Amino acid sequence: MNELFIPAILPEIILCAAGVLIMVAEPFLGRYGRAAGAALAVAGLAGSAAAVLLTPRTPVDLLFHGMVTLDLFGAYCRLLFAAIGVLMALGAAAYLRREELPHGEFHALLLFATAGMNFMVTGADLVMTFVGLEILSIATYVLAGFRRRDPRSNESGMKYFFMGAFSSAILLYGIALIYGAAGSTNYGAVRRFMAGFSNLSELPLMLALGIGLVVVGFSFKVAAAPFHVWTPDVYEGAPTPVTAFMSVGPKAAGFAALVRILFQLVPPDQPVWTQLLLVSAVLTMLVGNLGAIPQRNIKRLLAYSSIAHAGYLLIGLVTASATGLAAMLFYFAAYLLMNIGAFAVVALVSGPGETRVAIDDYRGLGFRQPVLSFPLTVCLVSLAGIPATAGFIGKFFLFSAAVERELYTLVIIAILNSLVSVYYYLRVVVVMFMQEPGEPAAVEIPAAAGAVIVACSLLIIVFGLFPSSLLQVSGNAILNLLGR
Amino acid sequence: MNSLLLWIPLLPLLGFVLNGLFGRRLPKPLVHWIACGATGASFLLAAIVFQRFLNLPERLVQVVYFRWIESGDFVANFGLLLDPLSMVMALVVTGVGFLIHVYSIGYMWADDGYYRFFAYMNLFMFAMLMLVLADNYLLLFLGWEGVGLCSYLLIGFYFHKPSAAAAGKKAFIVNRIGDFGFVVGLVLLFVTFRTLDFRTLFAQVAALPVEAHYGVLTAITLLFFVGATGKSAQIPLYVWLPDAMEGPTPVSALIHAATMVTAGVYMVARSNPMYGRAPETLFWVGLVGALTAVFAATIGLFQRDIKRVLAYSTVSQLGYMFVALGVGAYATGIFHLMTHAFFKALLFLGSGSVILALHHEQDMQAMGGLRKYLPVTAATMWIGALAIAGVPPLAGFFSKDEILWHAFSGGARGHLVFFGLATLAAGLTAFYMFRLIFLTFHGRTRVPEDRRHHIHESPRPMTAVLAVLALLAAAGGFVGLPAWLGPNVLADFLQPVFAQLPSAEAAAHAPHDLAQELAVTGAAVLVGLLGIAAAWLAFVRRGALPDDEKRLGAAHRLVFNKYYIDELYDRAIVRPLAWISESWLWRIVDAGLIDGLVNGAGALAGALGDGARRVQNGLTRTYLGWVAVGAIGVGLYVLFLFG
Repeated sequence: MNELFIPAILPEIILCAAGVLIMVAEPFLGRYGRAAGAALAVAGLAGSAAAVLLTPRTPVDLLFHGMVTLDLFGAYCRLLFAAIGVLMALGAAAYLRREELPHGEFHALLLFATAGMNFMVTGADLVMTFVGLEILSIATYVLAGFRRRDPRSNESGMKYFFMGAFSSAILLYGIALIYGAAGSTNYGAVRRFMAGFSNLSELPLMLALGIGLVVVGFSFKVAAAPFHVWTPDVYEGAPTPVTAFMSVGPKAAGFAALVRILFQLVPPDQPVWTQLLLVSAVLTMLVGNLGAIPQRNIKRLLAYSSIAHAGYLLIGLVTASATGLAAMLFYFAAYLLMNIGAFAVVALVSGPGETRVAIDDYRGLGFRQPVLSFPLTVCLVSLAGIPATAGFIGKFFLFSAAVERELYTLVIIAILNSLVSVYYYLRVVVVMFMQEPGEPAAVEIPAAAGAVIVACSLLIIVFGLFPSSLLQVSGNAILNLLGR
Repeated sequence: MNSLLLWIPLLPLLGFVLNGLFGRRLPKPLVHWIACGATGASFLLAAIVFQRFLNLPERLVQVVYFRWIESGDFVANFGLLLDPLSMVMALVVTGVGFLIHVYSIGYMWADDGYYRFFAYMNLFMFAMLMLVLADNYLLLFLGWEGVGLCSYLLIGFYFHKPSAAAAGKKAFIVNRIGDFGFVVGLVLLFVTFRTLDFRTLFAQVAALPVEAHYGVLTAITLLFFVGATGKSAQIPLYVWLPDAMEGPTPVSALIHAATMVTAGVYMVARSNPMYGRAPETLFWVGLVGALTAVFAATIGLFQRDIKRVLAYSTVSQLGYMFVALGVGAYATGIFHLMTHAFFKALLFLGSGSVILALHHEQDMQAMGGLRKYLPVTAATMWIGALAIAGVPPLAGFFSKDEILWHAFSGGARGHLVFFGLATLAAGLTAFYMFRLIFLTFHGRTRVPEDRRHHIHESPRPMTAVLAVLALLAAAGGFVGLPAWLGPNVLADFLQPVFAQLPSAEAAAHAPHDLAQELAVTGAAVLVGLLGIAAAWLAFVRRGALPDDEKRLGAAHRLVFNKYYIDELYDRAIVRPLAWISESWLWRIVDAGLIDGLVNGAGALAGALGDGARRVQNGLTRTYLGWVAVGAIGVGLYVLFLFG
């Protein structure tokens, strides 16, 4: 196959082209600009998904001089990212209008961020992965500070930028160390270099340290403890649709990049990092779930919940088994549905200027606004991992993969954690259905956002009742990645 | 048959969806027509299915509607299993459930949350039916969590009352402890047998020997039993059930007496192939049951709140059911579950009728002489009390007598102790039930003069339901006659479910000593009559009142305050936990690390301006510090491993 095989990066080309087109076209479209921006974004994302589906799926990792891999794992993740993008573009339109925020920039940045995430999962070289990460990060920094007149949003963008720059530096330093030791930044080349050592302890310290720092860099992106500290503040201050995006997109991309690094750069039979990840998983679950209990602000609550979920997802990496990783991929899909669904409701309820974000503002929402309260309940119940939802299936397989690996302590901690989480998720449900409203505020439900909310909650139940097909796809993607 | 079966749980779900989505806008009569119609139709379907089921050559139907989850070697179906056990449960749940729905029309009529109430009740019916009809443990667990959620929502139904909200929370938290055991048991079960399907699993289990000592089956069954102690309110997790009486009375009758709390009993009976091979677990099941039966009955002696007496009575009777399971008499346990559903639903609904007539007065000190005003309620509650006291030939007599006889003749370790405790509990039960009857309906009325003319018998739907339940409580026992009197229809019907057990076979072939059995029966009846007589002496002859009991001094205080168990849990568990989360988690993790630096997100918005830069700088620096600490930690780990 030709090394410069364009279809391999066609989805990203489409995304970037659409992004540029949106920016160029918007000034000329006048009052149609809004609708056109969202439509172009959806079209670009759909185009990228189509391009992913049409490219061959045999694993090739020598494309573009070893920069890009083409395999099922990358395809699965890219499709998820396209889905995230579509849900975001549809769900955010009404929010942007209400808050009087520029549409064109938002959609363009969304597309660029998606392209960056795509490169993170298809990159076959640390440099490529890093470039993808930076494309994503810079777009996200801007998005976090998108409400320019709101100090909370400014603070969020600024903080995210400082923290991100710092962790990028650590990541880059790790890459440099790996290059220094192995003489290459290509995953395959590093793996072959490492395979030369029969005993792990003979591994050059420089290489080991490098991999450790790379793991740290991505742990920041996925908000794993103790690199999670930025999450609550940044999530709270960012515009709600952006918070939704940050909680699913970069997190999934970071995990996917970690999977590539830990199982393609490091030979898969050398799970050196599992103990580190295990400690981090336990810490992350504890910090996330215990931190969520006293929260009074729904965005902050969901921020802690997203930290906790990073902990559950880390279990997939800790198992280092095909079943565990497949469960993690399944959980990505479930998680994106429940978080986007929940945040879409939060964005609507928050009202102009995002003033109603306390949990108490949800009092009496239950039977007054069933179109909001029932889907939100589904999302929260799924986040809590209660049966008949996709969240339950994901947790069930993550935990049982850990049981297979005889990680009993980890599983018990994880189960206890998810039991604790039931408390704070259901508290919101209780407030909605069992408390009298303070001041009833009618929330108008725009068609597109309503569709996103309903679709997310329905899909959560569909994947909760019929998860087989998705489980099979994610299983194949992982087997493909592990070369089995 | 296959689709009929599915509609039994689906109809109440449909009712929930209709009332949940549109109930607010529907007129009240339509709301209850939907809710009662759905449950009633579900009962009719169950009856039709029952009639067809009886004619089947092999009384076992497993219908798999679809593959729920399939991944690798793990398969879980969405399927229903109809066997004699689930048939009995489905009939009891839909039958009693329908009656209580009808009763609720009268009881809840004046309540604002009318549609909300019926929506939750229908959702409960759906979850409960899924629980009893599931063909695998995962689906059973789904129902198990579902009924828990509904129970939580309905206990807190009067959420404007802080005590109701607290009771809901308590039920929820206590049940999490039990569920933790259940979930760990499920994981262990799956890892050991690679399946959660009842039939596949039990076929594998049937090949295993009885575990003489602790083995994997013992571990699984013990963990399951932890789950059962939560849901079925046994020692040490019974504390939530008395508080659950904060919910509306029909909820107490349906969920906290007749159906949901028996889910633990059902689950143990369903898992009988495993329990039968784990004698160690069975011993603990019996012991916990017997102790709970006596312990809860003593607390019931001095309670003044009419519903609380019944609540402790429920805990005690559930203990009875676990005694039956613990001695391996599963069919008897289910028999008592059924008769208890009849007479306890009757007693609760009767107490609801009293409470409604007295405008939500629940203290028996302020009752008395009500039989003049509430003749139907008094008559039906008399029948219920006679039934629970074990007076022949009412329903409770047969089931209780069977439990005592099985405990007496079981012969294994501890069985005679269980028998002794259960007999003691029988006497106590008769006493406190007739204390309730005499204090409520007899003697001179203690209702204030000005309120007496407000007392009316409850509306027709309520009294009709009381009458039907009284009939069941009176005659329901005839399906389980003792061997010397006639055929035990129920036990014969259930026999295929419990037949594969080593112990059941042994029991079936045990020599039947008629003289002994009659002696046990005689003793049980005598103890019951003694209890009634003692209550008569104290509360009719001497006319004692709850206030007079205070003269008993320390003993009364101890029992009235429920042995201070709630306070003990509070001191030993709740407060330390609260202290940790308040002072440690909240202050250090959140307030200290994050909000302490920012002075809270709200304050931040106000302090913006010149203060903002300082706050932000400080904050980010700290955050960066954390990242650095983490990175250094990783570096040290690498040095330790490779250096």
